Amino acid sequence: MIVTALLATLATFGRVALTIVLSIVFGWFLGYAAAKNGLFERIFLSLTQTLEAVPVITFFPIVLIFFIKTIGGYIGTELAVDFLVFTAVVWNIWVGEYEAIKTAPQSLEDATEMLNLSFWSKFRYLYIPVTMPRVAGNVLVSFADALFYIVVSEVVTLGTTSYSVFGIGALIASWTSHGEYTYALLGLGILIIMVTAILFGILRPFVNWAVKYSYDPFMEITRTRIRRPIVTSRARAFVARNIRYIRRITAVEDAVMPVFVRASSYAVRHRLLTRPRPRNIITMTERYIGIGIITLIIGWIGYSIYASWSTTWVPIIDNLYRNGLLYLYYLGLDWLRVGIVTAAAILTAIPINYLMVMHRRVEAVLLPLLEDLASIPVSAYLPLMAVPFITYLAITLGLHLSLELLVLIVAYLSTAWYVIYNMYVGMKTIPRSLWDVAENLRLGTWQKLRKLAIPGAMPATITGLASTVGSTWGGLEVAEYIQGLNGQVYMVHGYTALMDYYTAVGNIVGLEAMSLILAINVILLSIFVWRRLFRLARERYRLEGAITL
Amino acid sequence: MGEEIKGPTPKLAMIFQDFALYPWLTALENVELALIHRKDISKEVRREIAAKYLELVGLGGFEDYYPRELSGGMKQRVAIARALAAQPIVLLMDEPFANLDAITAEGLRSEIYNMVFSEESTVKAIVMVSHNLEEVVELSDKVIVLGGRPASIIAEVEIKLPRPRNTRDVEFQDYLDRLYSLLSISLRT
Repeated sequence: MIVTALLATLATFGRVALTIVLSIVFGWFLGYAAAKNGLFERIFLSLTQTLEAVPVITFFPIVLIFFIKTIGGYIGTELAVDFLVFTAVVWNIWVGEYEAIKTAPQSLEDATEMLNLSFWSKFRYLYIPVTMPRVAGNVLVSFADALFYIVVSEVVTLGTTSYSVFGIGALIASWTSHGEYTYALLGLGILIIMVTAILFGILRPFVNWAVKYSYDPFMEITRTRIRRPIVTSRARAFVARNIRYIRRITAVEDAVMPVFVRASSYAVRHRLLTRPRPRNIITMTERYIGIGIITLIIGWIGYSIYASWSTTWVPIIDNLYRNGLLYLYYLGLDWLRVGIVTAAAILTAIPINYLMVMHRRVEAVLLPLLEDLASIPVSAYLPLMAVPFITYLAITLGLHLSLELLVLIVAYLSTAWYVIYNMYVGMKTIPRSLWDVAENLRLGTWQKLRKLAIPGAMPATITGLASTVGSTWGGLEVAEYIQGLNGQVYMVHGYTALMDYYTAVGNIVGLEAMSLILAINVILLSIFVWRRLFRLARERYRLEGAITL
Repeated sequence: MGEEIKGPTPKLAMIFQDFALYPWLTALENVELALIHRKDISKEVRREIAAKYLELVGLGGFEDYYPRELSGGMKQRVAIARALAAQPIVLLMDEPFANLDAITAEGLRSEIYNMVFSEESTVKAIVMVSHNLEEVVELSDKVIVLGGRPASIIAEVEIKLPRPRNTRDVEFQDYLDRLYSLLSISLRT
């Protein structure tokens, strides 16, 4: 059993590693092309910025159907799973790489021209190195995201057929549904150990190495903390000196330093503080090519809608006409849940972060713990976690309330870490002198929170909100509809629950209609909410004049 | 007075090199921060006092401006107003003119003395850290030269020049030369 679980975990990690590496490599070339060509840049940006905030998993059934229909078999399922994970990790990596290449120091670019470097040498010595810190910032989040999605997508039921690939998620789900809780716990334990091993053995060293490529003095900034008045005693000074010495030799400090934070703080700060360069100018020829391509695409979409009008679109529209109001009601319900969970995550993040920023010891204990917890996918322990909610709590609270509670808790668990992190980065990068002023003017805890810590943490929190909401949707998706516990299905009223239900009963038309609504919802949200919020964060709360880069 | 100071207190106000203004608060709100810990005054009184200090540093009319909308010199004036509003006895200044351009710094230097030691002000003394020797001679009564590693006191120089001081005076230049030579000795040893 241990061997099976170990192999399954390796299979799962293999998928994750493959998709992340592929994303990074493709991202270099796409990011370069976008940074250098105005036309490509516009297409690239509108595409990635929209897709970045998409809860990918909600489109999974459609993707799965496509792959199984066109390719079929184990390979079809495997490709569907890999594709899903790819779409979950790729956007933030690509955007990061593009932004890094776009804002590469002009003097360095000039130097490569002057030295007459070849295309490959330019990549090797300039463009790849400048993306490293951003890649590092995204790779940890992508790793956690990928694990979350892969674990749920390894086993999916479509109609009466169940599709699964070999992996730890599928294994835990199957053990739990057969009531073999000991094995399931064992599998989960192995997953946790392996996640921790990868985090500390591969990702942390990678990030530590990658941040060396940044010019940013952020490392100093993340190190600054409020120093408490030191009690002068000889013994203490002696101990402190020696601890410092030992630390220097063993480089313990590097290990204790929260790499997740360092890397993601770089990403957040890079996004907020680096002055965006204007988009490239489009030449006349490019404009014509662009118009040509857009006409072709619109023509192609128009034709395919026309060609499949009676077979695909009429049923969808008919379905929308009949069930549209119900879909919108469920969509509203899910947004309400997202709102509750986000508010709860922010409210819990404030005191936790304040404590960590103010007290070194709390920080030293809590941060690595949070980092590990963030990477262990909720979706993996959901089948086990659900057990009390459908047994004991269902009896005491009533099934309805109990399931609702489970949904909210799971959504919270898949969101809270990221909110805490984003806010931590914000609070930690508040310049030391602003804290000193607060101390000097004797502001109380409440005043410090209200006047300094919360507004200071806002830009990072808001910037992160678009992606954390994506995680919340992921949490809802896995928890609203739980299948296979004692052969039973448990669901609440919700958009993703209904989609899961449609998937399970094979109602493809309904699924297509719901995906359409969701796609429209996502695009509107991206245009009207996220971009505006991001601009607000950038303009209103930017620590201008306080941080000098 | 006469008590031992164990932690940060508003009686010792600090002026920072990077101004340390809260970017999300207006100039007036930044100055008001200094009075927040005082429970004995109402919100209205607090605003009035803050406005008065902004007026004192020559920023009347800029109450609702955010730090990012102010020039470097104006930001440092807000910081000075905030420090004075706390009614400190001692003012600590960490290279307060280092982040300003030369002309703004000169203007603010010639005004700061009158601002800080005006009738409204409670400040009795200023401790300033600076690498700019001209600034040091212009503003100080007593200069303590630090050097070496770890830093220790190398010399104490009293500057007995009438105010306002003129940088072109021969005596002013003499003091400057003396400080330069003291520093170069400390660098050699």
